[in-house]
Amino acid sequence: MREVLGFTFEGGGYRHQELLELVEDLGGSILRVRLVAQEATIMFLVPEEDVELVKKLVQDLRGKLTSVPLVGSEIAVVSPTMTRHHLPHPLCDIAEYLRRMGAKTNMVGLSRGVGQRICQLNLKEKNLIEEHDVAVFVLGNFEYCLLEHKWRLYKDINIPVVVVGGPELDRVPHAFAYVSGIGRIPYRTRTLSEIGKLDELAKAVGRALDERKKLIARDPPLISPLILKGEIENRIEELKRCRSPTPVVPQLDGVRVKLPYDRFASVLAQIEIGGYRLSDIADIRRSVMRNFILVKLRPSSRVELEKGRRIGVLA
Amino acid sequence: MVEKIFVESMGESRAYDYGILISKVIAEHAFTDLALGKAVEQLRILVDIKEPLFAVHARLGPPLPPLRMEDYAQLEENPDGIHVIIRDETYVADMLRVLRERFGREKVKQVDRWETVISVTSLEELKRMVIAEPQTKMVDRLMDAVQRIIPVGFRVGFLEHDENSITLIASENPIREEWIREVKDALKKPPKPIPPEELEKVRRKVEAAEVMPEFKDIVAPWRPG
Repeated sequence: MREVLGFTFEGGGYRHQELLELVEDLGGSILRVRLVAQEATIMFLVPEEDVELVKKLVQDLRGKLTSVPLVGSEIAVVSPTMTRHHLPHPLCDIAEYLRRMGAKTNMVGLSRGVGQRICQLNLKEKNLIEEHDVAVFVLGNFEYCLLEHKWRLYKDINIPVVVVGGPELDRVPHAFAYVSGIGRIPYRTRTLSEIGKLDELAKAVGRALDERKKLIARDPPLISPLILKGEIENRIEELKRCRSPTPVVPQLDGVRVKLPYDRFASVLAQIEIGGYRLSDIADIRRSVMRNFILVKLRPSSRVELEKGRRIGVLA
Repeated sequence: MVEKIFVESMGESRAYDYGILISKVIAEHAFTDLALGKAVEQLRILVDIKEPLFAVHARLGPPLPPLRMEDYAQLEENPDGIHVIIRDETYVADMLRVLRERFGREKVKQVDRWETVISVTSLEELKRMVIAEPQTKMVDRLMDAVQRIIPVGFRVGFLEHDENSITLIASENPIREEWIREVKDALKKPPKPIPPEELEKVRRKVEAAEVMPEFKDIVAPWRPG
């Protein structure tokens, strides 16, 4: 698998088309283009060996290029409740920082995530969180709660969970990683040490994503989610009229398409990519989030197996 | 400045747990946000996280007197009625509500932001009229602060109050008789302040700004050198 790197370009809208063309020529992928007045913000992916070419062009365009390591992932930032106690300060800061690192973040407020004995996660919330690549749980300040009780919230979740809490601990049970120093705080993170903590969190999320990537690479899907994203955007005309800022969100093993399931699921299923119909190489299902479509690519071995089975039936 | 907010640990919990220390920071922020510094003499928070139990005890300062019209507004007698001229708008909503309840909506005419005309009543009656109870408002704000301090999951509460103090014991489980006794015993002892060196561990530290290493690599042609 070729190594690709994510970048954000910020600069003048004038001649930004040249960058888009270069990225396409290099076989990269453009995730988001925002043009506000004369300013352009473009998030894109390019192969590692061609980064120098892009840097040269950006220098020529007099723009700014920042590396965004978490690009191409969708992350759930989970809070125990939606009350003033937990929102907005730590949660918004974390979500915004991960967004700046290139991830697409969704904030999830649980209905009954509070307390020690009474904390629980219902099935809908579990399914919603599992649609993402990594979940970040923002919990509280008491060591006893974190070690003895709160793990019940995320123990059964099938994706890596990074826990954020107040006290200094090496690890908490059942979590992929633990980042200390950001618990229930009544202020915004502004100082350098606080931003350092956010950076530590972004790195932990990056490690969790790498782990998942390794797992997927053992039996990878037939096509990359980024190629699938491009294909869907080219084939479905209605996406151009979609109000969401990113109508097709790439994930590590699929995409989320922000169109109503009932009308567009059958259209998506018929899309042909590399000689396959999309319904043969991916599971297309209704997302728990609103009524969107979730496309999860199947591992190649499973696609082959099903293909063989179909041929067998026909024979 | 005299220390007003004390957070103490009860039972087997560690005395200077991170949660205990940050509870003091949260309480300080709640007090600043709701401007309670002058009205409350002492606030004690007792935490036993293993039960779990969170108790907040506030000792109020001397009660604020009721606000009368003569203290708040300038009154002028004119042929069309009594003109009430206010200097600040803090209690204007309360004043208008009281006046309208007493004299009826049609007799109270608000000319502009600062002036209201009342056509029936005597000057003496108007002067003695109570237009607001600052003490009640302060207690409401205090209860708001207490709700912000205690964890959101602790929904079962036991409230005890008298003229100059409020005690709220909160937990996620039904409140036990012995907890109430323990909290009362603990409150009889003098408060134990958190040593400054412990508190320093959770206080925000503002460092001198410097360019972080990852930002040094940004391709920016206008940077000198």
